[in-house]
Amino acid sequence: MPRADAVSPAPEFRNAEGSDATMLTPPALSRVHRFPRLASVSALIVWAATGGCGSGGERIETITETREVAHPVAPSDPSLTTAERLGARPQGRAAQGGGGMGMPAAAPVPYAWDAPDAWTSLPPTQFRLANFAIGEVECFLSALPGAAGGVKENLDRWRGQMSQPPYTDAEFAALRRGRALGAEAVFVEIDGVYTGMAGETQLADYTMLGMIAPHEGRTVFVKMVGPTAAVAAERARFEAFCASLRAADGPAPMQPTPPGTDLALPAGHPPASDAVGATAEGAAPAEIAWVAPEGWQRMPDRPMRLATFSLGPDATMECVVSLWDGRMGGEAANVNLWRSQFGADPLDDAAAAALPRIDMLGTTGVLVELMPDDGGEALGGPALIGAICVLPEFSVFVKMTGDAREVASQREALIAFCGSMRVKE
Amino acid sequence: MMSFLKRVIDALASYKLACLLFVLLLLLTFLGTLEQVEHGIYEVTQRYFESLVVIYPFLGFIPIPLPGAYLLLALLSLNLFLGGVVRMRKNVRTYGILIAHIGILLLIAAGFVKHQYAREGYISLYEGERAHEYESYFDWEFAIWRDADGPTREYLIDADRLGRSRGGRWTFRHPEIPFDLTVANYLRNSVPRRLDAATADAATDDGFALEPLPLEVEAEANLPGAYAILREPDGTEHAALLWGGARHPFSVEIDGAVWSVDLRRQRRAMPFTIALNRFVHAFHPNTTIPSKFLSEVTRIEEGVAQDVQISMNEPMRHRGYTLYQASWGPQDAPPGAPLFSTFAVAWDPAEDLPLWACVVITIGLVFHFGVMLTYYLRRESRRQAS
Repeated sequence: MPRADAVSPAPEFRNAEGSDATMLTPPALSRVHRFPRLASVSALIVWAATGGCGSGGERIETITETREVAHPVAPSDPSLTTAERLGARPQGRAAQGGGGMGMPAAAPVPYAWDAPDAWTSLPPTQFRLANFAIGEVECFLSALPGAAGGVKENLDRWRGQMSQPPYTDAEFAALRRGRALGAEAVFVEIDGVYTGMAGETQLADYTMLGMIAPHEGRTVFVKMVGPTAAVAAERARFEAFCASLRAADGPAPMQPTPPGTDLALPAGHPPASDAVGATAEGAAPAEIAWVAPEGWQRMPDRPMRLATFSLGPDATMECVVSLWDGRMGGEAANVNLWRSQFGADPLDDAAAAALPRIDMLGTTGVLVELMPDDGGEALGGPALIGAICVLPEFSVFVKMTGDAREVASQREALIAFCGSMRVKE
Repeated sequence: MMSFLKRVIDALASYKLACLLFVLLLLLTFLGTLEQVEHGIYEVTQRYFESLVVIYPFLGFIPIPLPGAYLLLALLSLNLFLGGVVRMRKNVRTYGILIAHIGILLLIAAGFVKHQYAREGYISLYEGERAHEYESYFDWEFAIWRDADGPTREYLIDADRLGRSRGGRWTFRHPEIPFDLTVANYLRNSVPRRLDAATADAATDDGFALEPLPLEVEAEANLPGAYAILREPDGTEHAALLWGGARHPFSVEIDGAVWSVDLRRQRRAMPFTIALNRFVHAFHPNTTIPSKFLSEVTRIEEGVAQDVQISMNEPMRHRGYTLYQASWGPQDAPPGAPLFSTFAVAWDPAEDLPLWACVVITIGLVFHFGVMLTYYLRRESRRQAS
């Protein structure tokens, strides 16, 4: 094996133009490079000072240490790019979970996303499938099997990291709901003193944006933390990032939202009007009109919602109307999604089909009532009454949440509200 | 000549030297403790206590050379041996001191053996997983292997030597490896960054470069990196960026075989296998202060399995290895997520030597004080009699 010409000149160190001044680029592979004279002299001095060994320059050695490995090593893949090897995945695709740092490998969780250009992609950690830095702000995506301890428990953990007490049941029930990965997602914004994952720091005037959504037997988390002002500047991009999430091999999300744009309604849907009922034009799946019950206060438009109403004696209840393309998995799947959010067991198809139906959009929708089953209706506690109407072209969701006693008092109003809904010609 | 040699031995065996060495050791301990705040215990231990010479930055910028603890302890051993053992007057009144000095020499020898030969590392296991080797906290290696369905051979290069060499270019070869591995720009702590297209011409093929980072106070958090060139005999070159945090090794197909190169923490085999059956942890109420860590493991050795429990203050000791319940993780795991248990692994061939040294010292001191007490009592009885 000829090896006489195998040794190349010393590597070239240089700063990458236009990049961080401390960045080192690798040595040119085939280029002859001359050390600057000063460097050569310095290297000689260092070499002499250290007894002629261990300093800069060029060394050729024969490997003497070997080890027999009884167990087969994991097959390597020569086709991997540097980005895939290092874990900094190609934009928008999660690679296989890997060990790294001596940690056991995580199960692969393939998701895809559209990240804003301004976000710097960092190597993932074991629990961060996507990992971004935006100045002092960090944003990451993680996914865990099953319920991962529960939505509220995770949100309360996040609250703790922001030095805030856990959500009350009413606060939790009133949290903003949207859509991500084809399912209902919970969005939170928490201001406070950020203490880190394990209380290792104290950073005042911080804000955390979070999203939790179930997806095919997993729970998906997106979390952004940073100084309040910086996070506020990234809020729209955070929403867009959440909306862009999709299964890696699945289709692009229904609403591909360009970074920096405000995310609000389904694809092509214009803002909901303040008039009674909402209008939809262009590529919207439908134009829906309704008559809001007395005492329901229309709230400003929010992402992922057709309309939001505040109701109840102290405006502690919320009713959300959302509209989506297609069947969105069908009635039973969405009923069970809501049930899972309240810790209720899923219904089988027969039980779901037996749920009461109410008039809605010229046809009928399924009425979902999730009240405390331990007498809590009288005592209070979180509750949900909602309706789901799945049509061939689109699906409408009406969801009222809040204290059980107040929700129960608005049950007939919600049924009337759904009955007033119609598709505008 | 003999008189010069005698003067040297006198100096090496003198009390003055012993006092000077103790003062310098005290000074090193003081300065090292201060510097530990900024640079971490690992870095300071290496610089102050495992070195021959320390360059202390007085006022932050005036370099003052000081002898390192390694040199001081070597001199102290010599001083103690010559002055406290060889040249010491030997009679019943000094036997105790002589024994104590031998015990101190044993203690220093135990430290030397530990420094030279002891190994430390860790194992992280999820429930149901097993391991027969552990990874070093601080030491890194380049590993080269050929993919195989069965047993294979790894060719190993101590990466820390490159870290100590402060740059330079190293080429490694082995008759069984179909390429030369040239490593350059080794960085003890680094992070890969993707350069933009305008500056990516000289980086890896897909535009990554290494950014040097300052060393972490917690040395185990450092992630080294380096550029590597695999050069085949026909001159074909494969450029790779190797990084300690990479998920996959660099692999290339040569002559129909897939060869891989990885920069990883040094792996060391144990003579037994550990399987984690169950991990239990609990915290004091409303705190993150652990009240209980407990791992139920099975130790498998030569086909014999034995269940063992490892908890915070009850390590498993076996065949010179000690496995401590060190930590768990991931720290950012949400409730309900699977956790792994981490064991600190220590192997010290002189593990029992400090204990025996202390026993010897104790015997020496008890003997000495006993003798002195006896002399005192005799003297007192004589005085009272007179």
